[in-house]
Amino acid sequence: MPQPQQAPEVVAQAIDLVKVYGSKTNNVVALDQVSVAFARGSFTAIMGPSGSGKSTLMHCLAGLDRITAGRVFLGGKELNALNDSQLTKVRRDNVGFVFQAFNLLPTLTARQNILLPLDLAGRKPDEGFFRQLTESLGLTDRLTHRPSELSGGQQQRVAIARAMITRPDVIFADEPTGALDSKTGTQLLEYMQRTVRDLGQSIIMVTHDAKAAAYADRALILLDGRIVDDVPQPTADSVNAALARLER
Amino acid sequence: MFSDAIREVRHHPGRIVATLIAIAISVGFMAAVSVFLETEKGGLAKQLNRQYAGADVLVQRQTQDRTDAQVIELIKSKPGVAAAEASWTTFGPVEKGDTTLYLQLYGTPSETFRWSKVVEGAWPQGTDEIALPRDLAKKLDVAVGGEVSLGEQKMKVSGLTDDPPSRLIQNGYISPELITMMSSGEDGKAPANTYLIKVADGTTPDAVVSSLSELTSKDANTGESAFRVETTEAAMQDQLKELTMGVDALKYALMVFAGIALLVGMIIIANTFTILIAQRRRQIGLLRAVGASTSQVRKRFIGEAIVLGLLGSLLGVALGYAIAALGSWVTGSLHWGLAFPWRDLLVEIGVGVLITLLAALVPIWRTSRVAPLEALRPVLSADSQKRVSKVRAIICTVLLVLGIGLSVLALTSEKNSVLMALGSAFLITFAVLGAAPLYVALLIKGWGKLVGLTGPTSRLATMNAARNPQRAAATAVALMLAIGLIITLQVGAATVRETALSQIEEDMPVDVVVGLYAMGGPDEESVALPKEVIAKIDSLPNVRAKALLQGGATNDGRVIVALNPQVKDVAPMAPDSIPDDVALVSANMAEIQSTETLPGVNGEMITLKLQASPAAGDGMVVNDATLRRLVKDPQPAQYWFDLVDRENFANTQRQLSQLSAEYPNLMIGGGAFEAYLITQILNIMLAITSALLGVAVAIALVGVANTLGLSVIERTRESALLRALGMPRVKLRLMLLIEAITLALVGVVVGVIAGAYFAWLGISAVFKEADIDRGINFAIDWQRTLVLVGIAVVAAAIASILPGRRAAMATPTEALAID
Repeated sequence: MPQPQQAPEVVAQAIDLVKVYGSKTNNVVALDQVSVAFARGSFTAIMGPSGSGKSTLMHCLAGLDRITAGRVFLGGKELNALNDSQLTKVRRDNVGFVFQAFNLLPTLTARQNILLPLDLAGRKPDEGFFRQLTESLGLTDRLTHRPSELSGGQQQRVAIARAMITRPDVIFADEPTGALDSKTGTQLLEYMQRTVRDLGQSIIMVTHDAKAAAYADRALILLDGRIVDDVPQPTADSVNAALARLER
Repeated sequence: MFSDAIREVRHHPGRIVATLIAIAISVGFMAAVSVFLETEKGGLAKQLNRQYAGADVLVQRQTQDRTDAQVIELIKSKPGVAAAEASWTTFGPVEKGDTTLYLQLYGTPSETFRWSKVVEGAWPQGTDEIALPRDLAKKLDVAVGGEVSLGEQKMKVSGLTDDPPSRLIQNGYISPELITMMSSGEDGKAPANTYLIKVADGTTPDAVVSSLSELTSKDANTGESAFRVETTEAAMQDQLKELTMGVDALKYALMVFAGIALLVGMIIIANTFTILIAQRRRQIGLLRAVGASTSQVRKRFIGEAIVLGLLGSLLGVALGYAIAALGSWVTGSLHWGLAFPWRDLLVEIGVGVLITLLAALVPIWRTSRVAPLEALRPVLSADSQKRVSKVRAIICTVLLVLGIGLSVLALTSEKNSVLMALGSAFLITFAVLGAAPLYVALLIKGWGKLVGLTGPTSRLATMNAARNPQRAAATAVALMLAIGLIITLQVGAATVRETALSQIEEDMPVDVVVGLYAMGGPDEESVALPKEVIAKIDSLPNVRAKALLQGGATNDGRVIVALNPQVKDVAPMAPDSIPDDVALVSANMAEIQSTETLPGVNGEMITLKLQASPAAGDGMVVNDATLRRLVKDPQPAQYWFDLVDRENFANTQRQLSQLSAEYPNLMIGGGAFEAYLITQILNIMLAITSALLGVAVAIALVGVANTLGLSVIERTRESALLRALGMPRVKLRLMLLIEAITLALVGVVVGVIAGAYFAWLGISAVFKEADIDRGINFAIDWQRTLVLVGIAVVAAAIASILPGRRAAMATPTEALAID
């Protein structure tokens, strides 16, 4: 088994991150002074009960949402210093997304959906990489189909291919198996794990499922906007134990 | 039923705002017509009433029987008559500088019968004074003591009156002396038409009317009475009735255009409801799942349709009032107050609610197909959609084939061409509009292939536009209908113009002919062109060649001119010479008669052989020798000239019309002049009808905004996803812009093609039926067509602004939310 390297390169980082929703008088602190770093080529699961701030943390790390205070770095760029169009560019070039509700454009075919980020960036696709990607995801004979003609698992694999096609610094996945049956979900998680091990892709995944978190290299547990636990090499049992500790 | 509906409307105002606008414009059009026409009618009636404010009984002359003095004497001899006088009125041009007003001139009535007051100066005295209402004096820029001319005569402004400003009736006052002189003929003996009677206290007007029965007794021979005697009240009611008939005729004509606007509005409303209901399938499914019956679900939506229709109609009435107020402010009738035709308005509100309900019924009916579980599924199953398409395709193909068949029949058969063309147009219209869901998506995709080359934004945009064929089709159909109608008119007008112009070119090759009308009698001097006129024409720009023709009036008052070598420069087809006793005339005249006998100078009768030649225009051209035998002393009688640029006649026309103001019997004719007149008339008619149909186009464009707006609401997640994937805000707005333009273009292109075809078919059929076997110069007025297309595209682009903003406002995080 490969040992984690000494002083691994940091691909994403939050320092004293604060995110407050709502007005001055009626506000909700979603993230409270969170500091965390993610190593390149690692698979991290972010866990926590509803309202713990796990999705907010992901949104802030991915540049989808503005932060209230602190600093956020992604792929060497400080996101809070960027304006909207620069952030848009970061999302396009440095980040990939996989969402729970597959989120494909219904008017485009699978192939067009996968290539959409490159299309938007005006970049030529690397056909070799595209073929390798779609073959490994078992999508080769599905490329001309529209989302409505694909199963849930196939749609989610298209979403993963779309996230990977730009070779982003980080892929953010929000409950990627949430809408899938357990078998399809397992296959997807295994694929994500392989991508990290074989291709060195960095993945940050939000999930509430301890079994899904077990595929990650590391599990962060959030509660009330703070990181309360950091489980290395999680298993379903160790994560469940960590979550159980929250209730005491 | 209504409380739920009102809640829905209040919670989602954005979804219904476009529908409200569509209803409001449709109803507003009708309301504006009713209120404006009623206001004008009321103002006119009150203005007319004012003039008889002092009179209780009116006596109106029907025949030239008895003198004024006799009539007045007879009236005054009756009991109960306090005062009576003849009332004179005539029309006259009053001018100062460049301003000319055609005024209804009254002989100043005596104090008893006056309806206005002099606010400055005094009533006119003698034959050279005039009193004017304040606003007209201002228009003419004169004050009391200033000078204006009435026809040839110089008049001093003696005073200003307090008549209310009006564009329809404009008054002036002159002394009774002058008006009698002006209107009673040369002998000064023709009597007045109207006599005013004031009834003494204690007598009723009716009593006086019956005491004057001898005036109304019927003539034994003709069976007509010499006078009409009525109380002023009864006369006014008659007048109001006549006015009402005229106004109603105008109202019905305008309501045809309102009907077209309503039809387009209905398409938009139906489309909106289809989209709204599609968006709320989940809500419907939920209602059904918790136990609502289909009729309960339907009632909710029917309630919403009624609330929407009522709200939109009320807005429409407000809009109509605003337009009517503006209109009557321009005409001056606002002074008399806006009318409140409540019956019309109630009907119009009813129509507004009814069309909303009717348009919404089909989509509402479909909700019953929504099963509790099915409602939770995203789209209709593909099968059922295909089945509908097939039936639709078959019906539309049949209609189209029938329509084309009728077109062919209309163009080949001997009878009823116009009727068949009309039927053909209807069938084809139904086929084209009905089949829209089948081909609109294809057209959009084809267009998408073209613009898709410019990048992913336009590719996504056209795909979005085509993703819901029914919706895209309904949006495009509304535009097709409105644009198609305007294009039919435009192309029709252009074709008629081109055809008429080429006819004129053929029949009247001489651009402009200037001469004098013979005033009758053997006075040759009367047709000699004044030197000033010749000088003026010599100074005209834009003239290529000219010929001054000798001529004169014959004894029976006809103008004959003689050919000279210069004529060939102006009319190349003119012969080099004309034999003796031959006259060139128009083809029409040569067809009617082959010879013409005219009295010669020496009293003998000369018979001319008539020969058709386009060079003759409307006149008669002979050789010099023949002219001398017909006319004693030939003078330069007609100036013919050819323009460098016939299209640019307006400027020449302006200068010539100055001449005709100075010389009242100046005749201006020729091809360019006729062409100018036809072009002017067609342009005005086209402008008015286009403006009226423009309302329908406006509603159709509201429909584009509506479809986009509702689609954007539906696609919030997609917009957010595109933002998350790195599409900049600007691009998202651009995407909506391209989508709007795509929808508009499809509607416009189909509308233009169909409209042009209908115009061609219609005119061909009319020509066929009228048995005119000359070629039709099919013409498209590219300038106007392009302006129309441009307006539609720009308006569609503007319509995309708000939906685009909304789409761009989607935050990327929304893409991650679960709904």
